[in-house]
Amino acid sequence: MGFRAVRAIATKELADVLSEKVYWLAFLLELMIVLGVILLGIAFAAIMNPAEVASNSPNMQVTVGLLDLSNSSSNGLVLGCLREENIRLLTARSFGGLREEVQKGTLMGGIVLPQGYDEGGTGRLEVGLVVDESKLYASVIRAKVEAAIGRANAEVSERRLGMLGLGNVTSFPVAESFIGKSAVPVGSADFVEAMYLMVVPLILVFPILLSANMTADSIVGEKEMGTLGILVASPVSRLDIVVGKILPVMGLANLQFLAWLLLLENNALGSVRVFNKLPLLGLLNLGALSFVGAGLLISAWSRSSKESNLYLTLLIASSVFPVFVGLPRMGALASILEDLFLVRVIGSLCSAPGIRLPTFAPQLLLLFALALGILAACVRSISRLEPLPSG
Amino acid sequence: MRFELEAIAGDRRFALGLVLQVAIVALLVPLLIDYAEKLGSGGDVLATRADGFAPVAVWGRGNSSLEKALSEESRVRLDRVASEDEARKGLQSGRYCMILGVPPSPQQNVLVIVNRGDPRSISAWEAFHLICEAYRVTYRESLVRNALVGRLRNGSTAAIEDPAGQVELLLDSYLEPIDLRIMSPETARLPDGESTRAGNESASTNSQGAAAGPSNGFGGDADNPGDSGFLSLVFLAFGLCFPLFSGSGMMVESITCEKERRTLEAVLASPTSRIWILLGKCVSAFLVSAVQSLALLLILGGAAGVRNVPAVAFCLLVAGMAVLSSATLVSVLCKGSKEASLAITILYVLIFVLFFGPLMLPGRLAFISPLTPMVRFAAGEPAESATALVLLCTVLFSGLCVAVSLALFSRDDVVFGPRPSLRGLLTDVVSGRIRTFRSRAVLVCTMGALASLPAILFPSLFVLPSIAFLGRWGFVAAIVFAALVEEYFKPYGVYLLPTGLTSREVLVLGGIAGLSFSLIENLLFTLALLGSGALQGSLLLVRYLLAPMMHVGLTMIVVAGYSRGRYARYLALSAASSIHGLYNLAAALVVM
Repeated sequence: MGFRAVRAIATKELADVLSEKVYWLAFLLELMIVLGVILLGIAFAAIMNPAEVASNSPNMQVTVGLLDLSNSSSNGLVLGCLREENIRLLTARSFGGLREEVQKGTLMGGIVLPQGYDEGGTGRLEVGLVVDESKLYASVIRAKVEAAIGRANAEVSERRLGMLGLGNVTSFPVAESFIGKSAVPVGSADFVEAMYLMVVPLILVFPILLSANMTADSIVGEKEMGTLGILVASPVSRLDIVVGKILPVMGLANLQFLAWLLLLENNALGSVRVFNKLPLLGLLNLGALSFVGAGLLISAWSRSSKESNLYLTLLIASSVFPVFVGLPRMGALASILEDLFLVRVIGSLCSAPGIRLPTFAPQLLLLFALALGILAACVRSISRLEPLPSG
Repeated sequence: MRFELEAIAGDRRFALGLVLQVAIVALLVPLLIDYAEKLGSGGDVLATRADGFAPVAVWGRGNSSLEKALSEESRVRLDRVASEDEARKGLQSGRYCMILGVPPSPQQNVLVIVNRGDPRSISAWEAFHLICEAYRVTYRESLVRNALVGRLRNGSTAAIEDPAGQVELLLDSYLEPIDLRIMSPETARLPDGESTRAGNESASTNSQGAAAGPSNGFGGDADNPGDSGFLSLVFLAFGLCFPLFSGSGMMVESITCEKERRTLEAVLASPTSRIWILLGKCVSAFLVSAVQSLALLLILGGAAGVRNVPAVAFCLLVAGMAVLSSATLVSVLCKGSKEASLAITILYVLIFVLFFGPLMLPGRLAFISPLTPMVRFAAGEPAESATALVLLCTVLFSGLCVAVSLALFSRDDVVFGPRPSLRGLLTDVVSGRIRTFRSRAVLVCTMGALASLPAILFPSLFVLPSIAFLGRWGFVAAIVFAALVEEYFKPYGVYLLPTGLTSREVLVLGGIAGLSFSLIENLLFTLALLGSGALQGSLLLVRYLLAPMMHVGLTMIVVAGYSRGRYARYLALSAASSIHGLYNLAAALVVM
């Protein structure tokens, strides 16, 4: 392999890529998508776990109407618990008025203590919460009120159990201790699983897809411009051409990997710590090499850039769709694609502080073999290209 | 048109794209509908496979019920280790995220150590915590049940009918004495007998809730917030829009390919007028995509429970017109296929946001999307005034796009290049037509009103990265950026006018532009407040008084600088943007 030839081809390829305004705009679009995906992960966790949002924002004051129809002076526990949750209670005059205010949004919710509600009694108590589910804050209101009612429930239950002679009932004692400092901004399992098993792999796979797109334009672009004949006729080996075309694209992919890793760990939306960066980069490079090689292969086979883009879209759609959407009846196939598309491996690597690399040896070997096979096929397909365009 | 249709049908890529599209829609729509149903029933909606995500080491007593319960949690991978030391070593090395010591006796403490620095520990801890809670509840329940049975037996001399039933009734009043009943405002009702005391004005609505609610206690259950039926229809609409997107892609390719291959010259040299050539291409692409969309509607509509199929088809065609006409405009403007592919991607994103984003908004705000009438008709809802309005606006928008495309396609510089700038095009349009002061005022007024579009679009794109990188300061940066965009675009009408206007004329025209922009901005602000239900008279009064004065004054500063050379132009723009930014910042601080 000639170093000079590879360098010359790589420099020309890099200049071609960087001179395309489309790719610059694609990088910008990618940045917006990455930020959007991070925000989506946080929103997903918030939707799935409103109680976490409520507990993470103790200073958020919500205004709720109170309609007390109980006429009992012994009530106050629930109201006290509601105030402890930083819920501001405004007295409502009628049920109809309360519903109207909640519907209009001037009150974020309405609490109703019905006739017969008596915390001093022994019967079952019922508290009504009127909340408009179409409003964005509805889930947080529900979570705050549920937390307050939960506390009141525990207190009333304790009091009544004492009357049964079952005071201070404890069961299943747990001695818990915690070490280390939290690595994520939201302490919810939904957030952690969505982030590490979906969002982070998705973000780190973007550069691979863009790189494959760049190489898909590469050889077919030369065909369309009529420069492929000159390249093939020049005294460079086919391997030099393949390496020269792949190197700059891989370099740009690595810059993107580093940028997105940096962004994931340092952003004001919700920073997430990524572990095992070096093994992760190695793995991503193997994945990128496979897809970039596939892009080059498609480019060599295609007759026009449109055709090559279509085949690449087909390849990406058929690989990404089952992995991220998770088709129910495609368990085995989706599992293989997951390993090929690195989703599970990326998720495991970036979420674990300590990881034993031999665990991932089969996947690494599989990817390495795939990358080598694709590159060999690329060299072979370029060897079959005619030195000069026919006619 | 026949030629275009034959070309599309004969293209191998069209056949391949069609197969791909049918496959994606056939797979995606049922999957999304299934997803919507899961969401509605509160099922697991995450597509990630978290199996064995959180490794936990356990030592101590074997075969405990806790260990069994934890091993049934799919997200937890349980490893039994020989000793506490081994488990602690695994925790330190990061092999395990949580370790668990099960004592020989259930009365002794279960030892749990969680490594908070390991994100997976959150999943493991949550699973463990839920199991512990379930154990505690079961234990307390059994204690209380025994105590209540004993009490009933000891306290009553007569035979008790159904003692088990009585205990079950009493159990909740001891374990969970307060029941929280969540109701939606539309169907909420008080327990029987209280409606009259609590306010007669709600009697008519209450009767609706009474039919659905239980016989005693509160009525109008809102415990199931997910509306899976509605979401299914939204996902169906998503599937039906696929052919429209592919049709717009065909349209763009049809024009830009001819430009690249240099065959457009020959086509335009033919006796057919340019208008008919462009319309022929546009209508062909529309017909092909409309036929596909309607076929999909007939195939998938039944599965998704679509009610009013003809009305849905009509709305789909109207939405298709908007997509295709905007794609026509893009295809006429773009120079090559690479530029076109990027432009069409951005257009798809914009259309996607505009079509599907507002569908989730409450009330009439949802009618910002042209798909809202379609989804509402599909759900069996009747037409309302907003339906007609949004359909009319969509048709008008499509007509405007086609008219602008035709006007641009008839210009040689747009078709063959060098492509003129947007400002150059607009200047060409107004030059020669705008002679009187009144017509100039109309132009700056219109451009001032239209400036609200970039004033919304650009800051919206800027706000997310600025907050991501700068945190709270990013919000300040977004506010200042919004001021700069507004100050630049407000007097755009003045930039288009020929030079030679007097300073007084320029100032007055700038003031008109500022006032026009301010009126639209206030109108949008009022609509937003109305939509969110937080309309406050005092806030509106202050805004309606201050904002027009500020906009008029600052636009006059910008145009005054504009008419006095390049440096004065930049200086005036900077000064006006700074003052505007400070005003925005002060307003944001007051509101917060």
